[in-house]
Order: sequence, then structure tokens, then C-alpha cells
Amino acid sequence: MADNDNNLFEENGKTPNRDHNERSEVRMLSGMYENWFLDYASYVILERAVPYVEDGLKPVQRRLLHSMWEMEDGRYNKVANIIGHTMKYHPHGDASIGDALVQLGQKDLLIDCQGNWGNIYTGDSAAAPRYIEARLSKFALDVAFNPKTTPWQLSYDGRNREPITLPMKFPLLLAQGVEGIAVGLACKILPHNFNELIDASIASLRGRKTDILPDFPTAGMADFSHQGQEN
Amino acid sequence: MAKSGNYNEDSIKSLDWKDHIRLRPGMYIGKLGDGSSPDDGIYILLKEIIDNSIDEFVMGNGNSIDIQIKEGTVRIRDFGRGIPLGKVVDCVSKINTGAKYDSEAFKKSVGLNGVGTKAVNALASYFRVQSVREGKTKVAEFEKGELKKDERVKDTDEQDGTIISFRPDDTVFVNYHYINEYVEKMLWNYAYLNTGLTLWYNGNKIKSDNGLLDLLQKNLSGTIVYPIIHLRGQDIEVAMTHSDSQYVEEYFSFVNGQHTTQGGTHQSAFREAVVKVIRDFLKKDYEAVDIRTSIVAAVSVKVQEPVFESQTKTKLGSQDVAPGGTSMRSFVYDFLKQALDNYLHKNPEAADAMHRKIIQSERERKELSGIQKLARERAKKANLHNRKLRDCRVHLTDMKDERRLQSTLFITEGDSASGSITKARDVNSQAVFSLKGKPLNSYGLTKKVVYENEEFNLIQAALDIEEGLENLRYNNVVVATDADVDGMHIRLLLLTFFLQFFPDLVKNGHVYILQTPLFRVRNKKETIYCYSEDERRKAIQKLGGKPEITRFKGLGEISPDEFKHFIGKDIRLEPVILGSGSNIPELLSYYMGKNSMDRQEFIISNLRVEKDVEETLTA
Repeated sequence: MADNDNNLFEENGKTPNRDHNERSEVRMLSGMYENWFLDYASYVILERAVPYVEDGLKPVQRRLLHSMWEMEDGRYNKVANIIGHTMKYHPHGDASIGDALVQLGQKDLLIDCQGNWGNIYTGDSAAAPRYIEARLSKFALDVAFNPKTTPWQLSYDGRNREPITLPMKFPLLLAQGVEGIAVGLACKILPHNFNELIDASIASLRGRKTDILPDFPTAGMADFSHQGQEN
Repeated sequence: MAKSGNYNEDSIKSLDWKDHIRLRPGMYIGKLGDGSSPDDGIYILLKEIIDNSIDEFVMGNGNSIDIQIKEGTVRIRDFGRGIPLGKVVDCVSKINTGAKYDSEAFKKSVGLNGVGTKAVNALASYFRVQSVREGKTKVAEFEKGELKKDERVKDTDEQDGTIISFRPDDTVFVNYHYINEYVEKMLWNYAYLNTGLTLWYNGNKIKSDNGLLDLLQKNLSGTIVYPIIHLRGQDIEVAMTHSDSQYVEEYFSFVNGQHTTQGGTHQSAFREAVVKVIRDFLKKDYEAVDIRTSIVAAVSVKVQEPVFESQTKTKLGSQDVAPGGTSMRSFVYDFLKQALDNYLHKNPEAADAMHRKIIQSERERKELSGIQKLARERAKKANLHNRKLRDCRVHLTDMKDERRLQSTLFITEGDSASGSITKARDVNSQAVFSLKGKPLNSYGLTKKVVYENEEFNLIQAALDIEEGLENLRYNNVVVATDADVDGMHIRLLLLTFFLQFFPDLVKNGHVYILQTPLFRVRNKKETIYCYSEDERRKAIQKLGGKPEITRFKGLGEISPDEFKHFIGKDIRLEPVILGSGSNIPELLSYYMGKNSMDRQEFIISNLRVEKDVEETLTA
């Protein structure tokens, strides 16, 4: 009898409705949590809070720079216009894009600012985007762009292309510093002195060992005596 | 009555048994379904066959049952006495044939009408029965209840027992599929209620030595206040404890081996009796809520001729344990009065722990009551005008309205989305609640937050679940967030809120996720809505050329006319199902609690990178 029954199974194994078990991948709550969580965490890590090591930019910053480069004609552009243009690449709220641009401007490196951009010493905030203006600084135009060496990808709606990373010719990440809190991971890099960075870069390009410590745009004191000195 | 033409002898039909079952399967097995829900027909088929094997076990014949489900075909073998060989065919194909009509032992079983096996037979595209008795065996095969093969009695060296194999008819159960979790859960319940019985499911052993004690142990999440109290008596078994990590009461109740998920008279008798017994024991009149807060219990009773309130037998309605016998209330009370009281006297440590827990609950409740009062007043206002809620006409509580089961609350993200849904919805049965921004992460917070946080308080008021699920105003609670990553985050936060404070809402299957398209791809002729990146790629390929692609970043981008398709007849809802053995506190603390090395590791090794390289799309 055992034989009989086994036969039944083998026979039925071959018979039509193969897919009965396949749909049993119904997602349980734990699966949903895992899925949502990974979606959100991955996105925040990759696309929001943490900069790429290649060019030192978070996606919103890169998209701002790319937009400004596209709009670049030597004159100042209204920040509100830059924000609108950036939305072609960055499908998020205008306020968050505006804040990102102001922050970038306040570092006083890549953006040439016009109007009240706020004050990092007193914490005063910038004027509304419709008042203030910006264009790329000479420095930015020099170190950040080269279409020929830029890797491209399609923008989110498939209508435009945007850089995956910008071909940065300068250790921007170290210069600007960054603070980003993602999910499960966070990232904090202190800013460094512009001149020291250039010296260190030259030294490094010449193959010499070099050492560089953080510095702050607001000035300040730091004790690095316990820092490992070997690098 | 209207006089319709031909009402004569020919109009009176007498259906064959199998035709009747196939014509009205609902009368025999509840609903049909495709197996996505644990009360779908295909599980009832399984249950009907296993019930018979269980009855054999209860009579003391055979202590193991082997169940196999492969490719949608089920095989169940017991080691009972086997069906008497001469009656094998009758037993599975003649309605009202059986041995359970006059026996005392079967008086307390759920089904005793001799219908079960026949219903399975009629609803199976293939049905095979084999009985082995004292070295002889007999096989019969059916298709849709029709006898196809009637073999002669043969000699065999097999052990006694009955083997039944069947394949549910997929013209009745369209696209059916057995979900392992549901089957396992069902089999575990058999094991808990029949200690000493071993069930083998696809080769895995399912056995419980301690009955309801094991059940509680397996379903407990988090720490408990004192070791589980396990009491057995004639026709009743109880296991209970107080949980340290959940506020709500949780019951697993059974009648004659049937899991009554909606409770019923036995469950309310238990709730009442527990309070009385504990009050008497502690000699102090604690509030009933304080005694019952955090209680986790399993109750199983055996009743003669049970009466159920619903067709699916999930709520017991019997007032008495036997026709003309003692009332359910006094039966349960008398048992607890003796057994639980004795236990508490014999185990002063457990009794002390319980007492402390009750005092703690009382203190917490009093702490809350100040805020509660405030919140109630606010809620009263909210009930008159809940400014986040656009209500509908029909609610789950309108017992007379047949649309009550359709009542749905959409919880949307942001006002931009609620506008479209409000316009596109069916005003009679679909209501909208709009969140503003992301809700608070409620993980690890106390129930106070439900009153303090305005948003949570308004959700609670909109659903009317402060006192439990009885007054729930909507049958379906649909989380309708954007299909982007922030939407995922809001789903996490909202589900966490429900699981923390209203787990029953999720457990009873009221919560769904609305699936909305991520992209609209269209050219001049055709519009395709895509629910995934994959579908988008296919749509672009299909339309060719340069179609217009809109990414639905937010639900606000979908215009009301389009929205009609997404929440109308073709609504795509994904139910939120708690898998078996899913440990909610663990799940929540892992995903919503403090960052841990484990979680960091998990994120890093599972990062989801989404890149559109230019070539793949222009092709």
C-alpha cells in the first residue's frame, strides 16, 4: 500500500497545477517589516544622508551643483529658480532642496552667494529663496565638472540624465566635512583647512606621507594628543 | 408570490448529495477562497479529514497521524482501527452515514453529522480512500464524488488505519494554494488539545506533552510575571499567566478542539470567573480591569451539542455545557474556584507576583486616568468633529446594513493625498483619515502616548478602539501611504503603533496596505500603471518609442479620476498577516528600537541599490 500511495504523489507531481505552492510566498508581517525597513534604510543611507566617497557629495548636493552648472551663464540665478531646476533630478520637497543649497553656500567654497545667506556665527537664517541669488564659484567650475569623465545615469523620470558622481579634482569631502544620520549608520567627518588640504594633496600626489588634522570654519580648539599619529 | 410561468412537477428538483454539496459548498465548509486566509475552504477540507483521525485517537486508537501536502495534494494517514472494509465506499460517499450517532464519546465533538468526509469527497477533483484492518485492505477512488475505482479487498502487511488522499477541485477553489504557516498552526492546535498525539507534517514532528501550557509558552512574547498556571479538570483545561510586556488581555479559547478565535460564552465565563476567584483569594475588591490587564490565557472546554454564533464556528454561543445541564458560567467558575484557588494557596510566590502585578496595573491605570479624562473630553469633541477624519455613512457597527463589512478607513499620508481619495472614494463605505507628516515612533513608549499625542488620539477615536475591538467602526483599516521610501517608513511607524497598543486589530486581520502604482507609462494610445520597477521596464518596452513616464512620487500626483481605479473594484490590498511564531516584541525592538550591531550588519549586507544605467531603458 505504501507503494500505491507514493505513486499517487509522484503522478500528481507531474500533473498540471504546478503552481499551487508557488503562490504561498505570501508576505507575513515580519517580511513586510524587513522589506519596508530595508527600502527605507537603504534609501536613506545611499540617497539621502551619507555622501559618496568619490566626490564627497550627498545626492541633493550633487544635483544642485549639476543644475547650477547647466544653468551657468556667468550671471547670478535666483535660488528659487535653481531649486525648481533641481527638482528635475531630485523628487523631493522644495524646502529641503533650498536648505541644502543654503548650507552648501555657507561653506563658502563652491557657491558664489549674493544677498543674505545667513550667518554661521550667529545662527541667523538666510533670506527666502526668492530674494537670494547664487552661481557656481570659479573654484567649483574648475574642480567639479568635466562631462567627458562624468559617469551618467537617467534621472528618476527617465527624461534627463544626471551624474552618478562628479569628477571632483579636490578632496571636497575633507574640506567641507559632513554630518549625516541615516538608519543604522551615521556619518560624521570634520571639516579641514583649505590651504592645509592643498598642501597635503600635493604631498600625497608626490607620494609623500602626509598628516592632516581637522579645522573649523568658525575657528576653535581641539585636542588631538590622543589621536593615533601613525597616519 | 409572482406567478412565473412554469411551476410544475418538473421544477421540483431533488439533488444528488454530491451535486448539492458542489452547488452550495458554503453550507458545508463555510467560504471557498483560495487559501490566503486561514478560514478558507481548503483548510476546512483538511480539518474535516483530520477530525476523523482525531476521533480515532480520542477513542484510544493510534497515537500518530501523518499529514503530507505536496503540490496541492493532501494525504492523511492515521493508525486507528480503519473503516470497516465493507463500508468504506458508503462512509465517504453516502451522506448521513457514520458511526458517531449513538456513541457517548462522540457527543462532544464539533461535527457529528457524518457530512465532513463526503463534502471533501465531493469537492475534490481526486479522492482516494484506503482502509487497513487486520491484514486486509480496501481501496476506492473518486473524482468529484463520483466513484471511479472500487478495488477488491486484498491482503496486506500494513498497520491498521485509514489513508485518505485528495486534491481540492481547482474549478471550485480557483488558484488555491496551501500556506504552510496556516496548516502548521492548525496542526499545532490539534497537538496542544490532544496531548500524547504525534502529528507528522511533511516529515516534521508536531507533538505537545503539556497541552495548553505548551501553547501559551509558544505564543508568549516577552517576559511573564509568574510561571504559567496549568489546570486540568473534567471537560476543561486552563493555562494562564500575566505578561510583563503587553497591556492587552489575550485569550486562546477552544471548544471541542475547535479554535474559537472570536471567543464566546466560554471565554467570557472565564474572564468573569478569574476576576471573582482572584478577588476572593486576595480578599480585596480590585477593579476587574486591573486584574485582567496583561493576562494571557488559554481555555479549552468540551461541550455537548455546542451552538455557534457564526457559520465558521469561531464564536461559541452555548449558554450551557450540555442541553439542560449546568450553565457555562457556573461550570467555569466552579472549576476555577477550586483549582485556581488551590493553586494560589499552594504557590504563594506565584500568588504574590500576581498580586504585585495587579497593584501595579491599578497604579498605572490611576496615573493614566488623569490624562484619559482630558483625552476623553478631547475625544468627545473629536467624535463630533474629528478634523483629521472624513467619515463615511456605513460603519462596521451598523449591524443592519449589509455593506458594514465593506466599511473601510484609509489612513493617508499628508493632505495632498487625502484630497484625491476623498473625491474618488465611495462616500457610503470609505472614510479617510489624513496624517500630517510622519507619526511618532511609538516603540518603547507607554500607553500614555496614545492620549498625549493628538494624532494617535484621533486615530483611536476614529476607530473607536479604546475599549477593545467591539466598537471598531471600520472592517478594513487601510494604510495608504505613498509608494516611496518615506511611505515605507510611515507604514513601519503606523504598524508599530497598532502592534504596540492595539495588536488585536492586526491579529484579527483588519489591517491592510494599499498598493498604488509607482509609475504611469503612457503614449497617445495607451496608459499603463506600473506597480514595480520591473513592470515599468516591461511597459516601456511594450509601448516602444518615447512614452511619457510619470513617477507617482506621492499619492497627491494621482488625480481623483485615476484614483477611482485604485480604490474601486480592482483595489489592490495586501493583508497584514502575523506569521506563526512571529514574535512581535522581538520584531519591533529589532526594527524600531535602538540600533544594534546585529541590525547594522543586517543593513550593510542587505543594502538595496537601485541604479538605472542608461542602456537598459533606451533599448
